Amino acid sequence: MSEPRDLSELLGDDIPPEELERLRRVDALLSSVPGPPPEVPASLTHAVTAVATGAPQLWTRRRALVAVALAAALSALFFGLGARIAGDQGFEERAVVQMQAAEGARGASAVLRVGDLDESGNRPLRLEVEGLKPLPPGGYYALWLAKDGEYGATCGSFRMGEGETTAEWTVSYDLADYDEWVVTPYLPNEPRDFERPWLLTADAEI
Amino acid sequence: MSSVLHRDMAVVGMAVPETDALLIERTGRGDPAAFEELYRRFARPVLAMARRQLSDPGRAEDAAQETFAAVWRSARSYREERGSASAWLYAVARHAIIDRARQRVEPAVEVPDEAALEASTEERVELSWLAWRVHSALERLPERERAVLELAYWSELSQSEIASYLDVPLGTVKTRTRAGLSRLEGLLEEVRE
Repeated sequence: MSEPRDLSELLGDDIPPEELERLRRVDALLSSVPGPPPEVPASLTHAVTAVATGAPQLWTRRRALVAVALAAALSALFFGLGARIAGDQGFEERAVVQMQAAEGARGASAVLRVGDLDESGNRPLRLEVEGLKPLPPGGYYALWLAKDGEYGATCGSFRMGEGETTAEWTVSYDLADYDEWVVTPYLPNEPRDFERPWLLTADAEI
Repeated sequence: MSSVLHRDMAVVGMAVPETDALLIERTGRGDPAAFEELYRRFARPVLAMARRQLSDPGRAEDAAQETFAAVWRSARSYREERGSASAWLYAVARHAIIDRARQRVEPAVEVPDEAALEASTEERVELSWLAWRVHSALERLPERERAVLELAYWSELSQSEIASYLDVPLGTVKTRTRAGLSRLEGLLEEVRE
């Protein structure tokens, strides 16, 4: 991170004071962040372009690992052990939902991993949240399903610590009955009619 | 008024850049050209964030690749009324990078500068978002202005050295710096939320 500099050295002495003041704010922003990488590797461009065009991708390290894992799974199947393609969360993902932060949660983000119904008709959920503030003791956040802007069904609660938080639940609702996922805070001793902000939202269709 | 202006501009062949939101929408409909334009605009900001948080450049590249794969897969879930396109892309990138960090025993390495090392989680998130905004805006500048600004702020070169490096007069460097900062001001407002 570099120090703020003398702008006249950068721009010359003939800048009107009003413009200088505006540019000073931009200068301060530029000075407060690290620089971007000088260039993007061609291997990345090739691999990303292939995502959309369906062209053969380079054998990056990640793809090699996937291939090894796939070979292991096929091998297990061959020997009658069975294999299950699952994400890190341990259940089969039906959808990965990117939740969007509302005004009151600037910088926060969440990914909701929605699993398939199990044999009993329950659906696993895994919510990975980052950037929500830790609430005072007794406070917590809750994930809801909503319909037409109204709360519909609660899916579970979680508390935020420092950094990222992951919470897992199982729900039995039919997602077709709802149109939105929402995360909302619950504060200790809040009035009964307190109108809670919806901090993270996403469409419920999967 | 503005539609007339846009139509006139189209008649004389001036391209009006598509918004990030429109590009995500088109990507969601499976349009590879829109996806490639998104990549062109956001590859460096994504890679910058990945490199700050993952110690290994190779893993950072993998995380960047996963980010754009996630954009391609989930673009149709983006809703402009819920938030800005830039914030959505930022969130997708953050989670792809966290996923990549989680796949290793050691914790992710956060921004290796003093401010970040001393900052709380909330401040680090804010700093990361600020860097994202600045880097995204830089990608929208004309190449000659972007090059001058990057050299001026992150290369430790003086204005005279930049002039010499780019083989242009010193006055041109100052003019481009001024124009670039001014344009950047407007772009930073655009990607604020």
